[in-house]
Amino acid sequence: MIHEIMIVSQGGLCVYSHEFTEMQVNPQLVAGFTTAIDTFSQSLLEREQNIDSLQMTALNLKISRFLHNALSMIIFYNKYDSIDIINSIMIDLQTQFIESFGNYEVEDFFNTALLKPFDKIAIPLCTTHLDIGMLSVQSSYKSKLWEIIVNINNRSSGESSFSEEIKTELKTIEYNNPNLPNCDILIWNLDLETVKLHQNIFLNNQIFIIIIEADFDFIQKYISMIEILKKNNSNSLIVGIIMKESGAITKKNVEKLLQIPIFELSINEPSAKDNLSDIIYKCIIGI
Amino acid sequence: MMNNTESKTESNKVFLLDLGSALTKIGFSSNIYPRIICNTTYGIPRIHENVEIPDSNQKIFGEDLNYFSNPVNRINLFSYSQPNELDAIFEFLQHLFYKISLPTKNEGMILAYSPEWSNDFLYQLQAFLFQKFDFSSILPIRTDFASLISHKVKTGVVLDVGHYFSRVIQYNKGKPLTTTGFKSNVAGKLIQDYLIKLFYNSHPYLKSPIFEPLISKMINEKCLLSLDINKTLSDKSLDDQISEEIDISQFKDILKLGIEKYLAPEVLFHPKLANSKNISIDSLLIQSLKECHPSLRKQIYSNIILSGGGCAFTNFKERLKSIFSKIPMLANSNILIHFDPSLTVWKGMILAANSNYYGNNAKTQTQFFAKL
Repeated sequence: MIHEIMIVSQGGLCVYSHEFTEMQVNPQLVAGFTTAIDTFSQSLLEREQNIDSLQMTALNLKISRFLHNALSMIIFYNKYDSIDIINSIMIDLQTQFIESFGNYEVEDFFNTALLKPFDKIAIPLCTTHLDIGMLSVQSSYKSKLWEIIVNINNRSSGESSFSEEIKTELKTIEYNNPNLPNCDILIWNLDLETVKLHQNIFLNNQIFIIIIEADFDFIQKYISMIEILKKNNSNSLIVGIIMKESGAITKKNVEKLLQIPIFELSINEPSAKDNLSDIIYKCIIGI
Repeated sequence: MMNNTESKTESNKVFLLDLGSALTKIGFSSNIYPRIICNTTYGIPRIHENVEIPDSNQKIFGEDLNYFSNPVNRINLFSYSQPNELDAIFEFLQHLFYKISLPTKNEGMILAYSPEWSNDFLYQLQAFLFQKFDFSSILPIRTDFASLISHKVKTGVVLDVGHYFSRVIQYNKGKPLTTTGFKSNVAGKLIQDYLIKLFYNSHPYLKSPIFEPLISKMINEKCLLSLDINKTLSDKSLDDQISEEIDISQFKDILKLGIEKYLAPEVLFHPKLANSKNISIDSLLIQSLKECHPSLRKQIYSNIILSGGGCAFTNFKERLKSIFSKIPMLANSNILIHFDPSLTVWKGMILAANSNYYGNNAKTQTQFFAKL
């Protein structure tokens, strides 16, 4: 998902920014940094070089120059997002910008109020689709967990509007989170045991959440499936949730065994819905 | 054979050589411990301009490799129990023999060999030893047979957990029932690889061959088996209690070795942890039992002999016992293990040297070359 977009002038001044998540980035600091690093790369070699992207642990920055290099557009996005989608959004944003503001001089943009209407164009364009694969084995935890996920979207009513039959049969569910306005999220109910058979579906998934039983037999039985998943989806974010009720192996030890970030969840506690919602939010934001 | 343990009086001592895939041991039958134990490896110094390093093609062998202060490329002489370079192996042996002084003309030798070796390699090695060092006689002895006789038994099943492979070989009255036995690559190397994998996120450089000695040291000296792995992993405070810092001076780094002490050797019983499709060592033994003729099972499986460095982990015997207690045919088996299982073959060689077995079976130079 896209966290923030910025437009920076050649001189290193941020003339437009919009934040979709609570990253609290200082736009002027980013503008100064990207301009400085651009100047550095240009002076490094005889042939002109620019920085196109920056990778951090969980976040990436895509930088693209337009209007004869007078402006740069910067997009903050998650590492698991497809770069093709981000590039396509970047082109759309720049095209729309030039259509709307191309007749102004660069100096005019220093009046930041001028670009405020760009919000109306940029916000809808920055909406991305996100697939989350919820992988589990056939067990009582699976149905309980899926019920919680179905209920997350029905906070106001406090109880699910789906019938029991629908709950178990649903393979996907749209997930709405008011804190993630620019992200269309679809959660897939997938079977960990058939991980090898569903490679085509998995290619569309950007985040995998594996439901793990904190029991050694479970871990040693399914570790090879998780390894395959990691190998085939190196750009995806893969995390695990251990069910406190399912065994006693500590979170730290499960992390060591599986080498993925692990969250804990007590499925029978009343707070399970909020905790799960929080875990999904953290994954989407980029842990 | 082994009932007759009177010392052989024709020669005072017999030279012993156990050329293992990972470790080589040499010494004399008069010593309980090998004179030299070193990695079956050689090193080639990396070229540096400023220091006094020998010729870049010069090989550094044995213990010298551990004390060599400059960086070296380590090359194993065996890969998966097969010799890599014959000439390098001969050079390696020559170096070790010079180290402990050359044998005199009247000395005999016992050479422990792996059942994986080809007959051709075994013959070439013996021919080299006869020609270069003038041994009076040589007795090649299978490592698993040496393990068997180290416990003074003739019938039993040998579980040898080596570096590249674990093997199960059944012996009936001193004869192996199958030539190669049952084999799995769930062995020392898998433990090494798994430990490296466990630290891959925090210390990826451990993958470099230069850290092989450090990894081996951690496994040999720090790792142990849990009797109940589920319980061990459920203990919240255990990791902090057992955790210790390992100094990686080359990289000015410190590695925290905690629960990994239990996890690494666990791959012997749960190879799936290391993404291995091979069967665990307990399953290997059970599989061999299933394929043994029913009339021989009780007799052969009355003794289970554990051999090799992979059996040296604390609780190894107890762990096997608890697994086998659920299998009627194995529940009452004697599990035989020496204090240091990595010296099991060595002990068997000493026993063979000090009994009539050597005199009856060793071949003199004339006999050996006449046969060829």
